[in-house]
Amino acid sequence: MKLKVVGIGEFQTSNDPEDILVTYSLGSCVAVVVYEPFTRVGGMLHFMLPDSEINLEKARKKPGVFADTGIPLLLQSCKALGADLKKLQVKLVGGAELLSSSDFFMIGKRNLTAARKILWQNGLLIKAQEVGGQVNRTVSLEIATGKVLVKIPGEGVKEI
Amino acid sequence: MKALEQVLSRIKELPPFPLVVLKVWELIGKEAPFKEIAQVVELDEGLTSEILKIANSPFFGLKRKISSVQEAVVYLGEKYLLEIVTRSASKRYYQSAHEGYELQRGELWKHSVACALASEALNKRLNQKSDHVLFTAALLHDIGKIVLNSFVKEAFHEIIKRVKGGLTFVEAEREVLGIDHAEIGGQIAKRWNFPEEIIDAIQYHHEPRKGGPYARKVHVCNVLCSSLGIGAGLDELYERFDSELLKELSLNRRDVMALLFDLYQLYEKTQSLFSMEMGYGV
Repeated sequence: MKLKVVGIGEFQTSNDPEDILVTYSLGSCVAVVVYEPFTRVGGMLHFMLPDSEINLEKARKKPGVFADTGIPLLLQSCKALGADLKKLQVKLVGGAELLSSSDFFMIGKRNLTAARKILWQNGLLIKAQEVGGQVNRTVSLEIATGKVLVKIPGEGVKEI
Repeated sequence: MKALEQVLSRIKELPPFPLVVLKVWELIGKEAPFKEIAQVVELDEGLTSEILKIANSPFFGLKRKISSVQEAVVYLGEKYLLEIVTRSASKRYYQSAHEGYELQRGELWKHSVACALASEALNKRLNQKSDHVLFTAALLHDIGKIVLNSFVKEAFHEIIKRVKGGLTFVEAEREVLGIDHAEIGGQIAKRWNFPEEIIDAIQYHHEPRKGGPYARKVHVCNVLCSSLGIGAGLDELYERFDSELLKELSLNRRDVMALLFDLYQLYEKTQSLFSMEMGYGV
C-alpha cells in the first residue's frame, strides 16, 4: 500500500492498485473524488475556491486551487490513464461552513455549487457526497477497489 | 467549581514567556534602532542559536553563513527577524498533541502560524503595514487550548452533546467547564505581562464585538485558517463567524477569496519552517 497525499490545491490520479489517495482536513475546501471501475483509474482533487478569475495568472501556476481550472484537469488526467469518462463515478466531500451571521462568507457552499455546475457541464452526475455542516473531513480513495472513506473528528470513519 | 480551580492552577504552572522577547517587543514599540534590539536578542543564547539555525536553513537559501543576530538583521530584514524571535519563543508551548481538540502533535502550531500569516495577508490587502502586535496576537490566540486541552478531553462527550445541540464549541466549553480557552488565553497573556491589546485580542477572538480592533482582525484571520482546514481539529468550525466584520473592513466577497488565496500561498511557502520548528528535521 502506498499512501499518496493530495495537498491543498493539488490533484493526483492513479491506476496503480497499490495506491491510496488521501487528503487531510477539508474545511470549506472540497475534494472531488473520481473512479472508473472498469479500468480502475481513480483521482482526487482538493480545491479551495470556486473561480479562478480572482487571479488568472496564479491560476495558471496552481490550477488545482480552483474548481473551474482544477476539475477539467482532473478529468483529463484520468482520461490520459485510460479511464472512460462516461463511466466515471464522482463523489464530493467537504464544503463545510462556519455558523455565520450572514451568507456573505459561505465559501463551502459556493465551492460545492461550482463543483456541481462544472461536473454537470461535463455530463457527470454525483454518485455520493458527504458535504456541508460544521465538520472538517479527511478522505481517502483506494485505487484497487474504488472504496472511499471519510473521517470526521469525533465521529469516526464512514464509507460513502 | 473544581474543574475551574484546577484550570486556574494549571495556568500558574506554565513556564513564563521569555523576558527577552517582551523586551524586544517593547523596544520595537519605541522604534528603537535595530542594532539595539539585536543586542538584546543576543543576550539569550537559546533564542540566538534558534535564529541562526533558521537564518541558515534552506528556506532562506542564503549563500553565506550567518553567524550573528546582527548579520541576520542585515540579510533577512527586521520584519523577518522579529517574526522569527516571536515564533521561536512561542513554539515551545505547542510541542504536544492536543487530543481534546483532536489535534495531532504540531497541528495547533500550524494553525497558530497560519493565523499569524493570515494577519500579514489581511493587513497587506487592507494596504496597512505589517503589524507585530497583530502578528503576535494571531500567533498566540489559541494559547488557552494548551491548558484546557486535558479538561476538554475528559468532558468530551458533554461538550460534543452541547455542540450537536447548536452551541459553538467555545460556548460548550464555558457551559461544561465554567471557562473557555479564549478567556484562559487572556489570563495566560496577562500573567506573561503581554501588552493590553494582545491580551484583549486573545481573550475576545471568539467574541470580537467585546474586544478592540485587534480582536476583530484575529477573529477574521482565525476563521480564514479554519475554513481552509489548517489545524482545524474538531472544534474550529463550530464557530459563529461575525462576517459583518469583513464588510466593516471594506472587504468584498472577491477580496475575501483573494485573501484566502494569499494565505494559502504564504502557508505553502513556509511549510519547510514548520518541520524544522517541530524538530522533524530539515
